[in-house]
Amino acid sequence: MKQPYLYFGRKGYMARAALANGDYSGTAMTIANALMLPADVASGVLKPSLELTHRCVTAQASAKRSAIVVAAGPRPGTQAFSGAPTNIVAGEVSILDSATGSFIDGTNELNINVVGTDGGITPHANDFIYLEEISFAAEVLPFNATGADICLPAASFISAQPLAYTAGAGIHWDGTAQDATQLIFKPLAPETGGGVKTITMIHTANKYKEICEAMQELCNSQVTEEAIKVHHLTASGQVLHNAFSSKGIRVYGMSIV
Amino acid sequence: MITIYNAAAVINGTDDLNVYQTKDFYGMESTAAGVVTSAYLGAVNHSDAGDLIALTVVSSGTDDADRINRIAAMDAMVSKNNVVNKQGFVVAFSEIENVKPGGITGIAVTIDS
Repeated sequence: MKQPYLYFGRKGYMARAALANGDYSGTAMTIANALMLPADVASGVLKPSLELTHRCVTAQASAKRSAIVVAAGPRPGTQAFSGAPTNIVAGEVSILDSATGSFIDGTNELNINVVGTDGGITPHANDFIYLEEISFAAEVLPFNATGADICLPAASFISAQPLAYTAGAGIHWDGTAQDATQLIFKPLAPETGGGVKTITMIHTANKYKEICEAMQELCNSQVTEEAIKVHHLTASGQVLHNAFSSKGIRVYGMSIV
Repeated sequence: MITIYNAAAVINGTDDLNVYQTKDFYGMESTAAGVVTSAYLGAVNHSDAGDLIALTVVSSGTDDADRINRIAAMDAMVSKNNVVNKQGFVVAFSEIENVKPGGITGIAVTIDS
């Protein structure tokens, strides 16, 4: 019987409550909480495939933002820095790139060095830090091993269930509200009693019904000569099937477990 | 449909030429650099494991080129699994007949025992 096959690729996304000293030791990134395992990235060389962002919730004065971060400016599309740009005003969104000295250590712990050490930012505990994988690269695991991608027959699709997404208060750094949905498929190894394959996606809020509609479209597709690329990252960025994007669904992260 | 995998030029072992029903194909995933692994219902139908077919593609070049090659291999197997040919078998890969779709250079079958 001809049927479509659906291809999914992983995309890392992590939102966390900010720590003033930026030291997340003890709270390592995992597939469950970050959808990715970035490899050891030394200070000052955060790779282009990863975007690190700070979103201010509680204003702070007195040079909490370094000159380097001020020079980088806010994320495009977010509000301008205040007239005293070394202060941080609620709603401002700062780019924290390799120049800030942010880094990921060998145990997948995110560390953001504070102002005065190497030119980063000192966030308030009410703020949020975002680490987003924006393109395919080998420094973010898994990239070619189990969990990196999967191709499944449409007949294996069992169900979709909505989940709340509360990390980062359920808000992306651009202010967009977020939810999550799990797509559940039959296992690759049912004989072993292996669990179902679960694809968890963090996406634009209030789009569960639209995701079900998109899955219905894809499962009834007439494309059978190749896998339908539902979502994956390439070296130049994210690819999301039109069945999702045309319904106003943006996918922030995806894990395959 | 019936799908054939021929891994070796000389057929004298249980993993040299294998036949599966398309409906018993569970899916594929990347498992290493230049390797996609397909999963089938085990030929021996035990309850402990299925059969796995590792599809090897050229992994030279960049990691992104490797990713593209692995997807091409998956696309090729999707196409093979959707062939309707009620008069004969569908040859997914054959070392003897040199049927090597989607840039797949070799396969290795692991049969549950």
